[in-house]
Amino acid sequence: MIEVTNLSKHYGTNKAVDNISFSIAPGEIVAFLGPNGAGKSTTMNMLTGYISSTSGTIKIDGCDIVNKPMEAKKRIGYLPELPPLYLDMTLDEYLDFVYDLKGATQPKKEHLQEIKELTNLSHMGGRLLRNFSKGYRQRAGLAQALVGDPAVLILDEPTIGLDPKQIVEFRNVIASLGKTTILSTHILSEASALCTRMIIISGGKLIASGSRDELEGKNEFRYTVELSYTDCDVCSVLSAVDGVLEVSALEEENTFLLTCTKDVRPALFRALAEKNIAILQLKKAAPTLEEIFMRAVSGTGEEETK
Amino acid sequence: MKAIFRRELRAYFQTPVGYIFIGMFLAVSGYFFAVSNLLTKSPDLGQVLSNMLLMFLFLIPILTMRLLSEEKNSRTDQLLLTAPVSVRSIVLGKFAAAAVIYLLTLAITLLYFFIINLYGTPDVSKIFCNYLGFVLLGLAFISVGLFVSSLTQNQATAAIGTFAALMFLYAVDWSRTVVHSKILSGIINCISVTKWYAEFELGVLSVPAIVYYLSFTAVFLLFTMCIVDKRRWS
Repeated sequence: MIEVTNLSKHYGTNKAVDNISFSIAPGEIVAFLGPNGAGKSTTMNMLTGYISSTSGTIKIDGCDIVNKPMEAKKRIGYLPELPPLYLDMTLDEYLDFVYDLKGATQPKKEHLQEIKELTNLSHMGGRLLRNFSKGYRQRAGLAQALVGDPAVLILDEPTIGLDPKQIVEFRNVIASLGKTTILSTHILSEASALCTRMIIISGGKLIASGSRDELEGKNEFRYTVELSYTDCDVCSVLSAVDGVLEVSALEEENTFLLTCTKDVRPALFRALAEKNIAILQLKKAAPTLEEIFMRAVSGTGEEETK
Repeated sequence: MKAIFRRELRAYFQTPVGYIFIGMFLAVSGYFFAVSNLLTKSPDLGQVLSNMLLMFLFLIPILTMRLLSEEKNSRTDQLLLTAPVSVRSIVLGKFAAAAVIYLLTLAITLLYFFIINLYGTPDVSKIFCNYLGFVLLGLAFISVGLFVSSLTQNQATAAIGTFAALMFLYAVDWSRTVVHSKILSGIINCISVTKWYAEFELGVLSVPAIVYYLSFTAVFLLFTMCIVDKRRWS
């Protein structure tokens, strides 16, 4: 559905996006993951034809964004970082305008009504966009992107500034649409909650892509364990357990990170029970976004890197 | 293009801008009409329009300052440029909206003509020429304003820039008498927008002047499209 080859964007000597290639299949929901300033927005702006690329090609459903911009743009619904709202219009006027602007062909009234229901905005039609709160503006932005029923949705940090309830709603809406979707975020949990695949970008480069499991390393055994207070040498007890490679104390009191060769949880329980130490908490240590970055950069994620 | 035109037209009346432009234009031209026609009992409506020429330098920036600068400022240009519409139709849609507001206002001033017609004998063909010249001049100024508006994100900057540009186009004609270089006076001739109005003012239907104004407007619209496009390619 989306085909990106060797995409670059240079501003003078600054390489905002550096030779990125990826492709996205129909119906896939993909997350662009990266820290602020990684080049996510720049890439999205190029995908939607807002800015040009320095080199490389972008094809949306086979239509090149440079050579066939009209065809390509018809297939895209775009929600930029800041929803592009005309604050002096009411929601209904605004959606009406977007409908005309995009030259949509669906029956107007039903189509816009459907979108408003989908984005929970049915009761807001007559209100001025100026008076919308951040969350409502974001929804109006999504509604705008959905006008004309585009096959591809491109959402730039869609849940930023929303409260937790709105975030869940937003995710549900996006998931229920079943469209080919790219969304950018710098929050790992967001990406893993919604997306089948993640593309990690940093410093304008594509660092890794794959599902969360692939990126985290499926066959890895790392646990954090929080213990009750004890005066004996816990570290030596922990490292004596069969399969534990490394024990490191974490910042929180009596909490340790174990790196192991296999699932050590039963053995760990027995060993600690013997010493009369209670396990208050034991869980798999999920790597943070930073750790995934570090791993991807250092090459452990090599096989997932395209 | 139609969608953009309609939105822009509506925006003139959803913000005070449209009312300010129309109100000021009519107030000032009404004053001129009262002073130079009603009180002096003169049927020469051209006088009012010639006086309005100077007011144009202040009024046109009001009309055009918002057009493209505000799009950038509020990031709504992201919607326009990623929608399946061409840069050309964006620029033309906006130009058309400003032009319609302008023509509408000018049409209201035709009342003055009817008032004169009621009590005297106006020179119809001359007034027609005056109006035609004024329409063309206004469109040319609007295209300059639109162009300046495409250069900045800030409405105030656009307004002041447009004022400066129009002031230059207005005043450059004065230097003609002191410039002796053939090339230089040729250039002045080209950019001296108000000079070409003189013929209309006298009631002459001058084809070169019509062609001049139309091409002047077209060139600035083209410049505007280039600026909008260039921003995406830089």
